[in-house]
Amino acid sequence: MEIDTLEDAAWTREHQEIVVRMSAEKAAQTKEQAIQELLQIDVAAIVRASEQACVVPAAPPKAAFAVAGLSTTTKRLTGLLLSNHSADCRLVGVYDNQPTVPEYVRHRYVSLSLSLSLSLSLARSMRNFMLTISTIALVIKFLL
Amino acid sequence: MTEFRQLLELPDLEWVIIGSPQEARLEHVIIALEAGKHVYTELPLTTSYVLSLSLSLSLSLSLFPPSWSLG
Repeated sequence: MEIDTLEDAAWTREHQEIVVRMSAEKAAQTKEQAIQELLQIDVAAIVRASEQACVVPAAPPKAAFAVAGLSTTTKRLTGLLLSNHSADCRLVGVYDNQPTVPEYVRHRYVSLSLSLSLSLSLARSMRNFMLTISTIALVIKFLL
Repeated sequence: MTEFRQLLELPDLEWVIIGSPQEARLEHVIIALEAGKHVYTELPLTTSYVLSLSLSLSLSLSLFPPSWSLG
């Protein structure tokens, strides 16, 4: 699945409704103009997000990318990338499933597994043994 | 797409924008980094200072070759 434009992106119902509503309110405008107007909402946030995206050193705009989660910021950033780099930037996938496990249980499980994983990663890489032990102790203390 | 890992298996995929719900965000970041994908993720990364610190230390030690960015 390759998506080149916002129109093809089959966005969430919310986004589609916004585009349709804006198009209806300003019938003289083209749909592309309406999308551009949508993208200009909260320009400062878009600029910040764009600057952050540009910081990624090894991922040039030409790269194929995917989106996990469809928060407002994510949609705006994705729209910005597609509109500014539509010829180079390819959105190849969208994942927007909500967690099915109760949030508390899932969060505790993920926190525990990630804490152990990160602690082990640190232990493997850090030469300062005492610092590693201290970090693990901090994590265990936090979880308990 | 039912599993996040399926997303990462898409051909030619090089980087991921992660704006998952907060309870799943860090998990997705870790999975994506371990899969060798560059990551741009929303703030906050976690609600836990210790977890954020652990991940930051791991990344600063280059345990995960891909780059990542917060915003």
